[in-house]
Amino acid sequence: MAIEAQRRGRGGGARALLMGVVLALLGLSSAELGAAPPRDKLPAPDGAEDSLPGVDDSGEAEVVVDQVSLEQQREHAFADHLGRARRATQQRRWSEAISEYSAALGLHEGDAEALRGRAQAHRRATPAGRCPRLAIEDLTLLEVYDPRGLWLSERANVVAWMGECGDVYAKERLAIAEQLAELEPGEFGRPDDIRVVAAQLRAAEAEVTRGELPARRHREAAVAQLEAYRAECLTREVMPELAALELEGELNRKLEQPQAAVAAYERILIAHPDELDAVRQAKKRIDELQIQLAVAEIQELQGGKPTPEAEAAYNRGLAALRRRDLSRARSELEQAVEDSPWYPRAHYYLGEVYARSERFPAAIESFKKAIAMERYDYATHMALGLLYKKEFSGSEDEQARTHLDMALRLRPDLHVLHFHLGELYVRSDKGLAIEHFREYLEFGDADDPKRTAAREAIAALERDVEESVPFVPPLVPSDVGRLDPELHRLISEAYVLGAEHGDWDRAEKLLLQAREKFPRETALLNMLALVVYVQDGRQGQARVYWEESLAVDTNQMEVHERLGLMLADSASGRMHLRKAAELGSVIARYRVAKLLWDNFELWSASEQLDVYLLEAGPYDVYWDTAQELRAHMDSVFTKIYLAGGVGLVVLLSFPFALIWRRVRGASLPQLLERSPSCFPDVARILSLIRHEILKHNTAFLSDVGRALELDEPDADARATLLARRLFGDTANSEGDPHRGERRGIYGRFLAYVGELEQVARGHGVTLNLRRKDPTFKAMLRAFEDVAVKAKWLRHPGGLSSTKSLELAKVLLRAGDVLGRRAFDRLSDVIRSLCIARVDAEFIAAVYEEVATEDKFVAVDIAPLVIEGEGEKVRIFPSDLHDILSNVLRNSLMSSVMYAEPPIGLGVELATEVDDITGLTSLAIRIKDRSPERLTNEMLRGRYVERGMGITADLLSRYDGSIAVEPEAGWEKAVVLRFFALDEDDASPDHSQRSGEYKVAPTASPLGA
Amino acid sequence: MPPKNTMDSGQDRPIKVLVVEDGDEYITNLTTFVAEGVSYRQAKSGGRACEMLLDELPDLVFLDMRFDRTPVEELLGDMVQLTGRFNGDIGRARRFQQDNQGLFILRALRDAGFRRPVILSYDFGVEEKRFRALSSKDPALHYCPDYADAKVIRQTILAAVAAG
Repeated sequence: MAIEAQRRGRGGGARALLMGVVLALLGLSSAELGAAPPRDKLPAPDGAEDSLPGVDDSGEAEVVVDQVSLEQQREHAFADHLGRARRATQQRRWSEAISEYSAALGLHEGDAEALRGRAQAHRRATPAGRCPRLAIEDLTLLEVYDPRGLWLSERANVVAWMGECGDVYAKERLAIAEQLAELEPGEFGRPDDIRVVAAQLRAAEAEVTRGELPARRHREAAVAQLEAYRAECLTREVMPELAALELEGELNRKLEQPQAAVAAYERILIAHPDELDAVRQAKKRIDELQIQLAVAEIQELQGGKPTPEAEAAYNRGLAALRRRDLSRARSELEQAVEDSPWYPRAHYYLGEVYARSERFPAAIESFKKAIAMERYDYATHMALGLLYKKEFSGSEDEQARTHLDMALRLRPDLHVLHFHLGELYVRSDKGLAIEHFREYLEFGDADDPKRTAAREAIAALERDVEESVPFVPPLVPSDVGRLDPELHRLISEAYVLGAEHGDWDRAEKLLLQAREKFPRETALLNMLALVVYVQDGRQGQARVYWEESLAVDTNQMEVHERLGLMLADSASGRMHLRKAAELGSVIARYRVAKLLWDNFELWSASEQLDVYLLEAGPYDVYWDTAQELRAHMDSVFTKIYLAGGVGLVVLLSFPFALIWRRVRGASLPQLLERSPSCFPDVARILSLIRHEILKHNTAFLSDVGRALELDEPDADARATLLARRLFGDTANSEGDPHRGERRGIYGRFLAYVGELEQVARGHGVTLNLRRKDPTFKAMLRAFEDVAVKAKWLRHPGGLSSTKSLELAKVLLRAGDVLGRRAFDRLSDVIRSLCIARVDAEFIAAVYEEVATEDKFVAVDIAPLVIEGEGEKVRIFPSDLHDILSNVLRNSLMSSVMYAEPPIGLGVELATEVDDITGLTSLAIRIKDRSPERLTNEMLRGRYVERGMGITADLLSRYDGSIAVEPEAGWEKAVVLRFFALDEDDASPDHSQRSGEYKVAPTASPLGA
Repeated sequence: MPPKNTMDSGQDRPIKVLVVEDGDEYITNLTTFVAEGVSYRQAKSGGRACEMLLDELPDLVFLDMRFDRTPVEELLGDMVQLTGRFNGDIGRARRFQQDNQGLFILRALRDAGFRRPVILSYDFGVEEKRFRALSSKDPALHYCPDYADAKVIRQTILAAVAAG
């Protein structure tokens, strides 16, 4: 509104200037006029151009100008123009009419008829909706040229036409309207509704005028016009216009004359019952006003403080509201207001209850009662404003703006209100919307999620808007009404001085003088604080006054709240906010929660926010922000809990992992049972351990142990040597004897253990020799026991006799485990691995299977000839079966394809002893008569199909071989060779019969 | 006929032993634990052992079985034949060669004319058949199990020398 006023003011000033210039020019040009404008001289008759009449010096005869003829010609021309103009007007040729009238005016400047005619033509020529400025100018000239003639009849048109120009001619229009209004009703040129127009213009002036008093005067003048208008209507026996009645009601409302306003609205109901919208609005206004009347009546009758019973019911209601027991809260608060109708706080909370129960009309009524009783209660204005904003889908935005504007005036420190107002003004005043959003961005919380929305809104609304920040004076504290009358007067006077006249110094002085008489009045101190607060740079002094006020009465919620907001994130600020929250301030409660959160007191912040969400409602200014903060907190807590859970799982997983490490895994026998095919590799490694480790005279452990025990002369030397043998020579090995590097016997042993584990992994089994295999468990422990004493072993000379004996015991124990016992255990393991006996029976059985296959059904095959006794070999029987059957099948197939009948094979089981290594091999010679070319390279290079590639792979696994060799009496022999078991290896308990596989793993006989 | 060797001090001369191994474990152990009356020399490969025979003929050769630390080019044995025996798998053949290198060296020593006792440090206790096959062709072959202590080793040396 302030911006509008300024626009109008500037516009009005410019128009006045323009009018003045026009009038001045007109005045200059008409200086010679008497009653009539000067007339231009007529042009000279033809042939007499460029010559002036004068004395004939030449003595020739004088030419007498016929002045009358000139005048007549002029009149004729003027009449012609007028005539043509009228005709053009009749024919609606406005431009031509304007030209003709202008021409006429050129001959007779200021001719009223021509001016009026041209004005009409201008008016008709102006498109609808545009300001007929030229027409208005012509008509207003009549006031100069024909003030007692046509002007009197055309004034009404001027007023009407000016109304089409917005507020451009507001002041002029008002002046003319009021002139017309002064005429007698029915007088020529006076419209019947001129008073309404005058009242409307006065009301508009009131809106743009600065200062309450001038505005009030305009309104009162407008009301007077309307009352006179009604009287005229009564005389004329016509109904007053709806607009007039509505305006009268509105003006009386603003003049805080509710009874007159009610009367005006009631007239609408009577005079215009068919105007449904107007009737509805009027009824609404009547309801509101009657509330005010009722409140006024209550105040007059009662006023003052609530009764103790009412107060008790109020407190119970408040407690129930905080527990979200809306039903109980409603009944208690209704009881309170019934008991003490003048109870603004109870009405406010009752409104809250109704609002949360979605009984919006009742909520609005309660809030309005509260406001009526306590006009400057910011909380009620906020609640009502937010209720209008949120629950009426834009239809009550004006109401929302009114109340939130008021709330902001009362609490300029609640910057979040700027955001709500920005949203409201988006729909009606983009410039104001932008201002509010900017205020919010400047003073609001830095991390408020609404900031993004505000920025986006500004960007969307951005346009050149004049920035004007009208001064908004603070309003009187709400408890002024109950003060000592003298104090009340002083405070009000100070308010007027400051707010009305801007004289804050005088206002402050007045209040300070009042303070001498009323030193401990909190209302006075609070007013002082407000007065200095609005002045730049004096917030510190405001704080002083508020603190003095608190010293008088510490239970002032709003003061604590203001101080808390002012002092923000400081210890005292927090203290004030907490106190305000305790006293019931939900705003303070939210701010406390926010401060705690910003200071990483997460759980305290969460608690406070929960209390806020319990106490507050959807119409609290921080409600939406609190919801977002709650969601954000929940998200953060979830992440914390998740991280904590993961950490806990990780922590707990360590002992579980350790336990799992102990219990998982297999022993060596279990490995062989699960994956028998790994035994060739296992057997090899065990042999290496047996030979490599134990050959390195781990048995000397016992020797050295005995020598130390008996304190033999060379015991130290032997011990040192043994240490070097076991753990290597480098000093590093002493630092970590468990490192398992290839240093010394111990290192090699650990390496072999690692190889076993690797073999197991290759077969999908995890070995846990340290814990699950008794054999290796004992050996590893024995090595470790000695490793712990490695230092003593290296330097036994410096040991005491006790330590020397202790070392001796360790060595003797280890020597026992790692000597013959370990050797025997490992031997037993190897010995127990899978054995297959290859003899004639086995060969015959495999041959029978192959020879009876479908592919050989139609072939007449001679019986197999088998020679030799065979041997026991270390091989998985099913693998042996596969190998043999593949070879037999291949030989048979080749014979069928290439040999001459009779088709048949021969098998010889030959025992071969290598004269260098002494190892015995079993050679299975499979003879055939097939001339098909077959070489070792073909077999080993997997060039031969028919399963022979697999055969070669299987053989390799068991250190077997396949070769093609010449054979007397046959074409060739395919010879399979396997290392045969020594007699002792092939113990009867573990012998294998063909066709029956049974792995005989061993549990190492560890002496368990 | 070699002079009588004993381990008694002051009588005759010490028993000369050539230790053939790929490391130093045996030479260290023997010189420490079985030093009395015995002198030791060491060769780390079969080829070197044969050369040392020409320098000084030992009374006995103490022979390791497995030679996995000797450079492959110094290993004895027919790799072509061994590779064929293992289906063309050179890796397996090499391993076999290393695992049984002692026996290949024994063959080389015998081919070089050394007829005196050889103690193979390998437990043929579970492979008696094998040892019989070897010793039937080489009566001067003895073996000493890996777990033998100093006393057993000493006894084995003396017995081998006495029999040889």
